[in-house]
Amino acid sequence: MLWAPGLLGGLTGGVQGPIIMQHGTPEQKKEWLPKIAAGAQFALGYTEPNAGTDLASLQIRAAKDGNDYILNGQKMFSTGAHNARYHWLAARTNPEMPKHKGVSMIIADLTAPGVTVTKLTTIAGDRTNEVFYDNVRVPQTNRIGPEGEGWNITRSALAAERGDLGTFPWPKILVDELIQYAKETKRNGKPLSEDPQIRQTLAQLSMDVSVLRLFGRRLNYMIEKNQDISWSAPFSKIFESELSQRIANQGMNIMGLYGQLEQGSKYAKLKGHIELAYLTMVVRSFGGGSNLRLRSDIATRGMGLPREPQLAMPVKK
Amino acid sequence: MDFDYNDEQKMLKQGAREFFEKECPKSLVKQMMEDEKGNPPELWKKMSQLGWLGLIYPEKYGGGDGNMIDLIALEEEMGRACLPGPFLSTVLLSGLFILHNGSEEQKKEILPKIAGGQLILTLALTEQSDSYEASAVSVEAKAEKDDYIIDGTKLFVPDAQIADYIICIARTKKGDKPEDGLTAFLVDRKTPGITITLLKTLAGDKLCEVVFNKVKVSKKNIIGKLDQAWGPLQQTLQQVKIAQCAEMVGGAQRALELAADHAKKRIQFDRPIGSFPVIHHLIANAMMDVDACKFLTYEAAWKFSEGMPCAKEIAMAKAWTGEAYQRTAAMGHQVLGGIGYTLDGEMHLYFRRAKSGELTLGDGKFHREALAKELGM
Ligand SMILES: Cc1cc2nc3c(=O)[nH]c(=O)nc-3n(C[C@H](O)[C@H](O)[C@H](O)COP(=O)(O)OP(=O)(O)OC[C@H]3O[C@@H](n4cnc5c(N)ncnc54)[C@H](O)[C@@H]3O)c2cc1C
Repeated sequence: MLWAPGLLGGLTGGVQGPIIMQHGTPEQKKEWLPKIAAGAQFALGYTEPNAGTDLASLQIRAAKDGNDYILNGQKMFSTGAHNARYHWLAARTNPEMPKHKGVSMIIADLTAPGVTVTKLTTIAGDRTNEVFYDNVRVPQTNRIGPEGEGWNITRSALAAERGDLGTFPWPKILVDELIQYAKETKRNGKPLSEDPQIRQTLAQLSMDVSVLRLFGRRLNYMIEKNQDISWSAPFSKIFESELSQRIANQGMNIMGLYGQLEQGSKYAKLKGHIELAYLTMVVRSFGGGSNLRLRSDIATRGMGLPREPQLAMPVKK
Repeated sequence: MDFDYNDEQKMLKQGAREFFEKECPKSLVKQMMEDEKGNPPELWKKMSQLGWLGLIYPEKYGGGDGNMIDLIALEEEMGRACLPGPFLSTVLLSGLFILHNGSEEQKKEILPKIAGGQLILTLALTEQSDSYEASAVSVEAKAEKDDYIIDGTKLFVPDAQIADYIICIARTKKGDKPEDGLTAFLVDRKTPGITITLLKTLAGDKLCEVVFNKVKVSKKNIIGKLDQAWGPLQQTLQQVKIAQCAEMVGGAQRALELAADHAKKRIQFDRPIGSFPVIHHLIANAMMDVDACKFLTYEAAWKFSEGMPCAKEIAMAKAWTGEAYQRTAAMGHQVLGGIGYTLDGEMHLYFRRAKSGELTLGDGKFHREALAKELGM
């Protein structure tokens, strides 16, 4: 579907390449970088049934056995895992250590015996997957970075992804399409673009698109200057995800009864983009980092507010 | 106005809840979204046997003599259940229009059959112009001896693909004002010249294009007065909107409950996510939003059933409810996270229906404008 690759992410070597450059051994660089350059595809295996926003509580187990790890457990929402060869996996290598410390990054082969990939269909009709590991052997040389460093590596990968989310092209495309629609469509004898409320709505949305663009450019600037982006990357992510939902929701009202027509229906306008966006954009408020949680990151890291007391001191079982 | 239903209505509501939980599970709802007919015949029959299809009609037409408050009690449960099928198009839009405007003969002929589940009807009002104004009606009906010939295309007609009769609002005269010269025709769907195409929609409800190509209909099939359908039609739409708001209230209430239930159960960071203050805020705001829907709807229904003027209340209820239902379901998706984003979940049913309910019969903008007019502006 239209949005899948860009929106749901995962199906590239785009995140893995730079991380292997930074954290990989010389042998790993020699093994993986050419594969990635040749187009090897990775699905992202972070989320589990009980580890979503609280990723550090992930449980999939990688137990040492000779030169291998034996993987047991389940990943959830591994988008692209049915097409990708490799799984970029955050797994628990040491269950004795505190949550964040016992996690390692491992590349698993999705075609290995004991791996089962099953389909989950999203409300927008896209496919994502559950992946089950049943005694799957992976050589320890597939671990990227030191054992127990997986959490830090994951965090930097996620931050990079979040910055990417901020450069998502669809808000601008959709607003441009809606403006065109308003100019070309008459209701009650007048072009929609002459309706004062529709003018206000579209003007506001395109203002928002500009703000998004500026947030994105500032983020790049900060990255170039090697500045701390832990609070500014979520700016783009939050702003974009909420803007995308506003565009879809308000866009449907601008399009009136036509707004609810799906791609492929007779009379569907703008290729059904707005209806599709209405369903698709929902995921962006919690996927790629929960907006609710990220707002705390912004306030605490960006303005130095104290952290929520309970979360700063996790209650431990 | 009461803030609660009376005992009988509570029983009706409770009975409806249990009935729909058993007879209309979400698996059926999802199946009907894909199904071309979109109306499970067994369910329709059982609802008829329970007296719900005729609830709002007088007894002499096979109805249950119910009032508007009875109807909204039932509608809330239909919204909660995401009931598929032609209740709105058949029982409300068409049935009520006939009840208020039809000849004695038409009423006797049609209403008992609607109540008995034997006839499906729909109302063809909107066209490609995408507007609920009178000026948007361009389909013409020209007199020819004892008949009229209807020509033109109606769009977004609900359930036309299964309707036995279509009430077509057509222009019979070019008057001074666009409201003049509109007439309602009861047209047998099988009449030569009618072509129906099903559209694909967000909520999987069945909206159709209905093309009338020189369709012949007898003068006897006019409902109400020649050239004067608009005013009476608006009155029917007003009543239908109250019921539609109640359906949305039921859906919004359920979406809120699903979100709150999940927030209590879902553990992240070693605690229920429902313990985070941001989640409290989401739920608290939605509670206020949904109660606002409820009371605006109840007030409109109460005034209507007392025969008091209620145009303002209806405009407020429809404007608020459509948007608040959408906000509530969007909030629900936020709280449910990934697990609510798969087709196996239920929240998306509410999220879809909220938006189509908001757009159908006029959205918030349309009704704020109607309210402004009522306020003398
Ligand atoms: C279509 C789709 C594709 C995906 N693709 C991938 C993929 O390829 N790889 C992958 O690993 N994952 C993927 N994900 C998973 C995604 O990253 C998770 O959905 C996300 O991390 C949220 O986790 P969750 O769904 O378990 O929600 P939860 O973590 O259960 O969150 C539920 C709600 O609780 C709130 N919440 C949680 N913690 C807090 C807190 N501390 N403070 C305030 N609020 C909080 C959240 O904001 C949210 O509103 C995908 C998900 C979807 C739906």
